[in-house]
Formats: sequence, C-alpha cells, structure tokens
Amino acid sequence: MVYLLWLQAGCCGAETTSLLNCEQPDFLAFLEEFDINLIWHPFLSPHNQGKILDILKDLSRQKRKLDILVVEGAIYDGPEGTGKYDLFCGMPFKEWIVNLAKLTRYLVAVGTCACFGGIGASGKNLMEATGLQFFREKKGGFLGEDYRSKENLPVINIAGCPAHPDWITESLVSLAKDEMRSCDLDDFQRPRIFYEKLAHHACPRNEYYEFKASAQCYSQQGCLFENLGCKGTQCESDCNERLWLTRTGSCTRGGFPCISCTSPRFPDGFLPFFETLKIGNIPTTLPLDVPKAWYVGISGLAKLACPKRLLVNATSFKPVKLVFPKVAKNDK
Amino acid sequence: MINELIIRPFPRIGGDLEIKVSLDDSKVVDSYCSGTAFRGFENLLKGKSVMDCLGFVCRICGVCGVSHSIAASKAMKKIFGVKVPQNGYLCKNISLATEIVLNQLGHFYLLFAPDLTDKRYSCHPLYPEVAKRFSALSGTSYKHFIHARRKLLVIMGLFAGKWPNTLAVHPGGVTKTLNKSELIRCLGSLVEFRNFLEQNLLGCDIDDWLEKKNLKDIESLCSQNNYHSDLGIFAKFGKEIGLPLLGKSTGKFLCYSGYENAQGKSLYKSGFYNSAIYPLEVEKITEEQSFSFFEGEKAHPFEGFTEPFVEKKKAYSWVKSPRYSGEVVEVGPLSRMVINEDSLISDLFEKMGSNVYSRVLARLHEAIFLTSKIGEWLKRVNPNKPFYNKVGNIKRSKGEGLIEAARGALGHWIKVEKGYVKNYQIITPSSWNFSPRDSLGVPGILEQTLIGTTLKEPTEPLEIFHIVRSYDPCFFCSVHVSKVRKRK
Repeated sequence: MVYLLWLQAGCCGAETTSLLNCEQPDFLAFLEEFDINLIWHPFLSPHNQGKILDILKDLSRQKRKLDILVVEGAIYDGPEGTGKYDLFCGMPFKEWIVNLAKLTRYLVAVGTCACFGGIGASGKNLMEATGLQFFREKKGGFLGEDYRSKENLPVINIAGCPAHPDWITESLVSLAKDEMRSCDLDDFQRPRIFYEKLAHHACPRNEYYEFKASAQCYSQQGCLFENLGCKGTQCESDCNERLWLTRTGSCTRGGFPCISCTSPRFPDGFLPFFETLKIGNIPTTLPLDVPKAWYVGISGLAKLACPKRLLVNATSFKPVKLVFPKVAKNDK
Repeated sequence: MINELIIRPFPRIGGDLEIKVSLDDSKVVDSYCSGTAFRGFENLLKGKSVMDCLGFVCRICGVCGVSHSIAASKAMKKIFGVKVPQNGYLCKNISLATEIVLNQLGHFYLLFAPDLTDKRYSCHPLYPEVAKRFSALSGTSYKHFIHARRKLLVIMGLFAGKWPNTLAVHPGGVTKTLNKSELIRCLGSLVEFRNFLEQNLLGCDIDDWLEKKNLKDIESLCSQNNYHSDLGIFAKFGKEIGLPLLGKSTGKFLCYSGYENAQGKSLYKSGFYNSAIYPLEVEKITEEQSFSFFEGEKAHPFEGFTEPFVEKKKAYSWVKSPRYSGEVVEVGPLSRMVINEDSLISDLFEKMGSNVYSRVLARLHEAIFLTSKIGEWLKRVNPNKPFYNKVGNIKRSKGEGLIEAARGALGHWIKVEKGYVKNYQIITPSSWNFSPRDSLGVPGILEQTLIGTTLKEPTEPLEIFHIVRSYDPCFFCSVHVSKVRKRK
C-alpha cells in the first residue's frame, strides 16, 4: 500500500480537475490498480471535520506512513515572509510543508505554480509566491536547492497549467513502484519522459509550419507561430502527441497558441500571448536550437516553395482546394 | 451557554472557506463566513493588454474557467465593438454548458451526496441503498459519474482543445472550428452521456423529465420507477431526512442573462426576484467592503478597487459584499430557474421556498436541461460558416460581461486606458452567496441562512455541511490568502 497525501496551497484547483480528467486509467482505477491509499485530498476525501488535523498530527509524530506528498499551488511567503497569506489548519501552509517535506519519501509539485511559482508568482508577485524548489528559473525556491526527500530525490516537478492527467498519474505510478531515479529528471526536475519533447511535435499544423504558411487571424488553419503568438516550438511537453480530453484536443488543435505553460518562465516570459513579437520579419521566439541565419534562409525558401493548397488553406477557416493537382496527361 | 464552533478548512468544496458560528445550546445564533482569500488577480490584470487578460482570467478557477473566459470575452466584445458570428455564439454556449453540466453533477456526486451517507441516517430504510450509491470514492453512482463525465470531455476537447484553461473563447467568437466529422463525434458522445443521465440519474427519458411541470410529477415519477435512480432516491431520502426544512433563505434572487445567440436573444433572461420578478438594473449593483480586507467602503464595480489592507480592524473576509439596490440576494441555479419561470422549479420554490433540498434539485434539473440544449445547439453549428471575427482597435473605454456561471451570476468589469487595462473588477457568484456583513451590518446570504439552524450534535455539525454545500461554494476565485490577522 502506497500512502499519498494531496494538499492545495495557493492554487485554482485545475490540477485536481486534471486528475479527475484521467483516463486509462481513470483516477479511481489508478488508485485501485496501483494500490494507492489517498490519505486525504481537500476536494475528494469523504471526511468532514477535523480529520486532516488528526492526520497531520499523526504524520508529524510518525505514527503514519507518508510515501508521496503532492502539493498543488504556489507556496505563499507573504506578507513579509510570514506565510500568513495562506493559513492551513491554523498555521501558515508553508510551515506544514517544512515539516512534511522531511517526512515524505517523495515530494511532488503538480502544476507550474507548485513547481516554479507560475501564475501565483507573476507580475509584482504580491503574495511573495514561489515554487517548492524553484523560483521561476532559479533553483532554490521554498525548500532550498539542497532539499532531498527521504528517498534522496529532489522535488519532482510535474509542470503544466494544468499538468496533463497522464503526466500526473504516470509519474505517481513510477514513484509508487520506486522506479524514478534522479537521472530521469531534466534540469528543472521534470520527468524527461514527458518534457523532452516539444508541444510543436505532432502539431497538425506542422505542414504549414514547414512552408511558413501562416494564419493571419485565429480560427484559420495555418501555422500560429509566425503571427499569432504560438510558443509550441519552445514549450517542452508532449501535448500534441499525447493529446488532451480523451485524446481529442490540444492547444493548437483548439486553434489557439501554445503559451508554453510547462516552462519555469510561464506566464510572464511568454507575453504577449496572442501575437508574435518580431525584429524585422523574424520572430523573437525562434526555436532555441535553430540558428537564426538558417531560419531566415530556410523560411525564405520555404515560402517560395509553398504549395498553393497550403497557401490558400492557411488563411481559411475551412479546407478549400483540398484535392491534390491531377498529374498532367503528358507527364504520364 | 454560548459556544463557538469553527470549521476550517472546510473540506470538499472548491478552495478555502472558514465558517464560525456561535451556538446557544444547539442553536446557531450568529455566524461569520470568511472567504479566506486574496489571490490578487484583479491587481495582476492592471496594466496588461486587453487580449492578454484572456490568458489569465481562465486561470482564476480550475473548475469554472470557461465561465470566466465567456464573461471576459463578453466585456471585451463591447470594448472592441466586434460582432460574433452565429457559430461563435453556438460554440461558446456549448463549451459553457458542457462545463456547467460537469460542475453541477460533479457537485452532486463528488461534494454533496457523500454527506447523505453519514452514519446519522443509518436507521432510515433507504440508507443501505444511499450508502451503496453515494459513498465518496467507492459508491456505485460516484463511479458511474466518473466514467460518464468522460463523454462530456470529448465535447470539451473538440470545442475547447484543452480544459481546464482553454484559450478558445475570444471576443469575436471561438478559435476552434469544427468539421462535420467532429460534430458527429460530439453528438455520438452526447448520446452516451444522455444514456447515463437516463439510466442512472433519472430512471426515465430526458424528454419525459423535461415535460414535468410540478413537484407532484416528480413524486409520481420517482415512485413509478421505485426510486431506482439517483435523483429518485435523493428526492425521497432527502425529503425524509428533513433537507427541505434546512437552510431556508430569504428567497431574494438575482440572475444575469446567459447563453446569447446571434439574434440578440438569450436562453436565460436577467432579473431580480423579490416576491415578484423585476427587470435587472445593472447600475444598482454595488460592492461594499466594510468587513473585507480591502481599502475603501463601497463602489460600483467599474469604480471599485482591490487594494489589500490586512490591518483593517473589523475586517474578517477576503470576499467583498456585493449588494443589489442595497439588498442581500441569492444567486445560483435556483435563482435563475425561478427568474426564468421554469415551471418545475417555480412550483418547487412556491411550495417549499429556497432551502437545501430545492437548491440541490434545481442544480440537478439544470444539468438535465442544459444537456438537452447542448444537443440542440450541436445540430445548429454549421461547418461551412465562420466561427470567428478578428478584433480591431479599441472602440470603447469600458465594458462589462455579465453571465450565468455554474454557481450563479458572474460579472467582469473592465476599464481601458491607452490600450491597456486600467481597472478590472470581478464579482463571482460565491461573493454574492458568501459575502460578509455590509456597511449596515447586514450579514450575507449564507450567514443569514445559518442563523437559526439547530444542530442535532454540535460536535458533528452535519447540518452546516449540508447548508454550506447546497450553495456550492467555490473560493478558488478569490482564494487562499487566509485570514490575515493583525501583523505584530
């Protein structure tokens, strides 16, 4: 039996909704199949009053086992470092985390807020919010860069706003089976298996991207990168391969730009969301590993080579001229 | 003897809430409802470009983000003076209705119904059946719902791409176009969802249910199918354990309009109910903050501001006190059904008033009603017509977006200066229902509802859990900066 405790810090509840959106396995099957005992969850537990306080007391006296602690939401340090902006069971939430972080075998941050501060820490950061072991791109965050859970792993960051249900359940499964190693995590402590790809991969608009056939406004079929703010070429995730909501959608499939929500720089690093910043004609958000000169050369050529079919469709909301040109008689 | 009872954290609701009641023996004589929270969203939006706000507002709440997007897009539509094509309206309505059905049923199965399995009711003859169906995480109906909600996720995926936090809803329509094949998939998935409603929740055909005109019809329906449906069991069991006598409110209601179409008509009309239905006058809405941790006292939302003031002496909540013409009003599915003269719910309200039972039934009824509407709308989406109009330059310096979200009236008020947001104020349904006292010292709806309640066992205040959950509180919207007491 694996004992899992899920707590909500400064959050909007989207990670819990994402958990409920799980399929294959759905979240009830996930608990059953992998022998996970959900000790407490603020939204899902049957208990009413008092239960969580008893659980927390038992945990701190080590009368109960804690295998996995999941935190959803940013840790609020404010006002003025007191943490009183977020009280939980009569104590600043952050103090509970200090205690529980020492006791848990694994500590998991779910959602970009818990990982890096995210929306919670954007702008002037009134709440003095931070992620568990990162503040934006800087290692340290709330627990400090040396933090290790009892199994000698740092905080495992399941980034995303929200995280894909599979990223949550599959990470928890590999922790439940004690299969996660530190080499399975990337520089931002995200499981490589989900975050080593780009949201751009398997985007249905890729053919438009290749030929720089770009949409001029939303709801058109063309690529959203050149004009409409898409950051899919920078966003480390497998969204378009994995797909969301019973494998029916993704951001770019929904016709709106990827805004790179798995990144430690989300959201402020990806503003404006809906238009592409450019210097001259060149987007400032080029894929990191494509040299600028090559990009300029290739995209110039690609535009010249673009088939008419793509050119027309890129700026249309429905497919037109879908038929490939018939092979001319004298070519046979 | 006066005792004080504090419930915190309040589990199985959205976000953090603290309830404090004073008890004279077992009777609640006073109550304080602290929405313990300030996430500072309104402050975050100041200075942003208008469109960028869309990326933030859907992230206010992970449960009802589409509602916030729709409200914001409606306000921005006025600011940009853009027209929405017919498909744009239909698709927005379908996404919103899908989210609301997920919310209303999620509330019943995941949050409210598990309380019916409390040991207190174990002597009731239906208890074994109730416990079998509604137990949290393990009940048969709980499990069926978890499976069935995925049928709606198919529709959400094809209309919104990703959820929570979709960006498909724009002022000029939706970014997602749908082709014939996708529409057929949605219709197919909806049929499967309707099957769940008919077989598990209702025990009858949806269309038969929607023909029910009064409370008697429900009773005869439930006895016909021998209470072999979740709603049937709830209707009988809930009545017999006394839910209609619990959580009676004053019955003053507010409703904004909801689900517009291209012809300028709405499925829900707006209104104010106080013994009779009156037209809504938006300028009568004010927000007071006498007992909230914010500077200032009272303002119309266009003028309101949200500067936190943690040392404010009499403050006890991060929720403000919205009032309509100075009145404390209730919002939610019951409110909009009464104002829109739904025959079944109006009859229920006339006979029983606003209480735990009627609020829960109105919520379930709305889920059934909207499911049938989604079917109608799906058939009217035309894949050959546009879904979206591009926004141009800013035409007006302010706009408001008032809509009906799952939990009731939701309003976004935006003021713009030189292309950027000067002021952004949001009044969520939960601030109407869970507001603290106003400048005259009048308690909010929930506070009023709790006062006078008799608790059977003050150590196990199940009545309070029923009452609070019957309003479906959601505090993510303003959440999580808890109860800042005076700094030392």
